[in-house]
Amino acid sequence: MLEALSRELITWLGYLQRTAVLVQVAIVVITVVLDKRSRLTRRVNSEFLRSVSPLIAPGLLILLGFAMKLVGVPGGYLQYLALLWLIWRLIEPANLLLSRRFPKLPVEELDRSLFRPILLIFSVLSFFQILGSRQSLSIIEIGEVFGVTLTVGKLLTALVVTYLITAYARRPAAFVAWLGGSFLGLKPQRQRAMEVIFQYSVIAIGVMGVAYYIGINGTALVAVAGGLSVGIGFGIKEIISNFISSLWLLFEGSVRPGEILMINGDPCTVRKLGMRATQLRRGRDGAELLIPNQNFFTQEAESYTAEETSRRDAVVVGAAYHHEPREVIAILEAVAKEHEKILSYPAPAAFTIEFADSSINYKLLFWVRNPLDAFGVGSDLRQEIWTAFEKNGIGIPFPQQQVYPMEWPPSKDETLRIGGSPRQLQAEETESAGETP
Amino acid sequence: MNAAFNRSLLTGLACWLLSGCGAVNGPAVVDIIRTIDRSDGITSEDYDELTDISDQVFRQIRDLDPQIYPQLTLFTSRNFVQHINQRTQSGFGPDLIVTDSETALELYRLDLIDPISLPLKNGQDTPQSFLDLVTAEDGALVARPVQQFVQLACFNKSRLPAPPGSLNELAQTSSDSTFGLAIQLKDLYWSAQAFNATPAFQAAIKGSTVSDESRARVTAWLQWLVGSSYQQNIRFLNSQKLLRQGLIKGELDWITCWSSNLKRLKAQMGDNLGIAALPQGPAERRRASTKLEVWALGKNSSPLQRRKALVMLEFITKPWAQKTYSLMSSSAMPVSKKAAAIVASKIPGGREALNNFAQSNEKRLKPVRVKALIFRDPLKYEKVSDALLDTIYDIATPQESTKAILRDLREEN
Repeated sequence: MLEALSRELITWLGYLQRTAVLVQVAIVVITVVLDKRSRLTRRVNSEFLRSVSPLIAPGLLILLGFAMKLVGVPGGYLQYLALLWLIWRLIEPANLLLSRRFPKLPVEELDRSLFRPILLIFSVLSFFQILGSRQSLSIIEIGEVFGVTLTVGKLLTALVVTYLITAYARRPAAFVAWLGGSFLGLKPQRQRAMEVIFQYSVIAIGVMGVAYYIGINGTALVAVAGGLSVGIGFGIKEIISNFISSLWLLFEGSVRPGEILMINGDPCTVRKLGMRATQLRRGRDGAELLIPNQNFFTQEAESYTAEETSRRDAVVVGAAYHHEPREVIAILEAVAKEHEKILSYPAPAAFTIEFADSSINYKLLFWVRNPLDAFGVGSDLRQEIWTAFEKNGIGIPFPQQQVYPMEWPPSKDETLRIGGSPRQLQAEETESAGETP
Repeated sequence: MNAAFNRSLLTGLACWLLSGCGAVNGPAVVDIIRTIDRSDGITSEDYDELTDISDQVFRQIRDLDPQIYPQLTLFTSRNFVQHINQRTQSGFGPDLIVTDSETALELYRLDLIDPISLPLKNGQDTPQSFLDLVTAEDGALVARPVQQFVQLACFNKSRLPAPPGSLNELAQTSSDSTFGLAIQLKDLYWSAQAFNATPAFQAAIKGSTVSDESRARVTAWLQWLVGSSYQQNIRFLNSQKLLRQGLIKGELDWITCWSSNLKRLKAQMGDNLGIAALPQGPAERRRASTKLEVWALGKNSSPLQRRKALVMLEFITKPWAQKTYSLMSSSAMPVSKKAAAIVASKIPGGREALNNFAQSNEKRLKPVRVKALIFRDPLKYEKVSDALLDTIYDIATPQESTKAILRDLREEN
């Protein structure tokens, strides 16, 4: 391998013995340095001129390359370098234009994961192509993998294809899932599940295709699987367990993107079912939770969207003992029925649940369509109940505590309690029920 | 060349470049690009096959001039001209191009190689017919012939014990075995020579009257092609590569092949590979059809690199180097008359190829020159190729195609 690489390097050194090559490289270097130091951009007032000014230097170099060719001097390398420079400089304006023209397009993501990687690959390949080394570099042998000779070309192609497959399998998978879901009339959540299954299938097929392209045959893949099974037994058990759990959950459909699960008492929306962990968004504070898939597989999970999306919630309130419970219950149910997010069927219902120390406690049960609305609806109801109780003269009692100073030994004739019984001989703590005015 | 050599060379060249690259007689890397006659990609086996030979040659050249550092790169024949064009436009063109005569002529037409001025004493050892094959229409010698590959018949010994010795035998045997022919003119030209069709071509190119007898020989050749295309056991395929694949897979029992491919065929077929001369036609004498390997000078070399390239060119055409080079490859005849006489018996098809060197007999030289005149002119080549295809595909009768070929050769002249 080193010998082959040094052979290429020597050939490139030979090019440096040529005046034509040195002149072209020198022109590009000088232009780049001058362009960096140039203050032309700052002096220009016009926005248009300022936006096109970065293209002037590479554009001029391309024209100079043409001129050199016309007079019979090699200028192709100069043109090539200038063209690369121009393309790289065009990326940002192109992104800006795209994001303005198509605001919904994920331009930043496309730029990061598509435009720049492709341009980088193109730049590297074309550079070696122009030097005449692409073919000979690509057949340099790196080593043997499962009895197959791995060359630089095969390895790079495999890496690029694998990257493209993993980075872009989602889009076609989403399209197929949408198409299939539309035909079969599947819910959006099931479509998302189909999408993930398709995505993994495309990646799996792609990776196997790459393995076959490299020359690794089925027997070698079986050997890899055998090796992995040992690895699973020792080191990567958890990873594989999580991965298998994710596939199982997808097929089962119990945890799908869009589902709402209760995690430690908080409703959370499933955002993404990854290969290792499920990503959830907690409704309370928007925190992103990453929970290993096997947790859902081996432990119980509370879902509000598995079959039925409605959620029942409750508001507990106390009313003073002297109010008629039926009257209170009627008021509570009336308040609940007026709330627009509370379902009329099953109808809200209030119950007397406890004769507490200072109040009779009631529980108002109600159903909402979206489980994530329950918290907000509960808050609304408490406000409305307060208003309704105020309107109907119903007090909400609360425990009151009175503390009296005492003296020892206590006087037999008087008590320190103001207005209290003179027979009470010692300091006492009295709890009495208070209520809202 | 080994890794230690490469490391020392890298260090030396780097020091030399840093110390100022204007040295008049310093070391120079000579970038050599060689075409491989196939359209799919180059493999490391191709390098392995050629490195042994080229390393020995380069070592001998470096004994002569230690300041030469030859670096060989292989390239497939597909898009080769465009590749050289792109590199030359950029200043990265090779210093030496090792290819066939037709490609060299095309490169010259596109101004991608420089003509060679041949010192008189050097040219005397190479037959003029070979130089004709690399002489452009403006009279410039575009490359130096170095070796010639001989066209042969390759067959599967396990399925065809005795190859046909004549075209008649080919027709008779074909009921039991499958024969393959490539449809390209360069691969079928041997059959025209077998029917002695070249005098008619020569007369047409010269603009003189073509005798009825000569015209009849062209028609007979085309009739044989049509008759062959009707035979169920003779198959016409698009390229030599397909023929070779067919022979290796056992789909074909007999094909025309070039000596340059024998090593690979031998590796695939082992002892089942049989080699024989091409079948003889009605012509009196069997004549080998050959394909030249030529060395041409690239356009981008620095003066120092050009000098070193010329040293290499001068060396490789010396009879001693020619003999050594041919014996190492065991598949090509030298172009040097002296060397060819020595090695003919060692090269498959060498004895037939030796007839091409009989320069004293002008009559024998004519077919090679006529071939050169047709092959170096792309229009003539295309016209004759089109007429051949029309005949084989039954679009035109042999008589019509004869007229068309002779008319086109005359017109293009």
